[in-house]
Amino acid sequence: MIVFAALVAVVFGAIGRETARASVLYGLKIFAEFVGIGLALAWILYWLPL
Amino acid sequence: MSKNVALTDHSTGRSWLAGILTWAIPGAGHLLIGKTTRGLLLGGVVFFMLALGLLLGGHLYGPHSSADIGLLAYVYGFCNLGLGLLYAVCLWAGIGLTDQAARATAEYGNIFLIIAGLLNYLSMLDAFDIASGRKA
Repeated sequence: MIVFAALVAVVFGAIGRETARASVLYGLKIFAEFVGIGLALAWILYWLPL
Repeated sequence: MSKNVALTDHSTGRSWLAGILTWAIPGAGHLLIGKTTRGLLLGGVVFFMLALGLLLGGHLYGPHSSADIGLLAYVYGFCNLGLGLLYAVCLWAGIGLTDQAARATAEYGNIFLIIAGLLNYLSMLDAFDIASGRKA
């Protein structure tokens, strides 16, 4: 999940913003969101009787 | 001088060429329009995701896999088709066509391959937009 989030964040950061600094910040934000939401969903799904 | 010419030439044909080239060979369209770093970055990620997906046991979808999962094979196949010539080469060489469902990481591999194709579609649109002057 970490590798996946990092790779997708690189692409989103590269194409989502114009300047290098903005791209890096946007990529870091996307990465954090991917990992954070992934962990949150995993935690929620753990308690559901599926 | 040549870099300035490359960045300011926003002809329609050049835009389509950049888009199609990026689809065919990930990152190549960006190299054509002078966005070297971005091209290497985007192309590198797509190539790496393809390699990782195959190593994890993922397989490529398409009409050949419709017997297994029906029409969904065409949906996933469209996603994989985003890999362009890489997809064609894999089909031609018989690489990544076998479903390795017994492997624990096979589904992860499938996702990596699907997302690699979708990311290359995004790269293709990005190259088109840059070449047509819609983006810097």
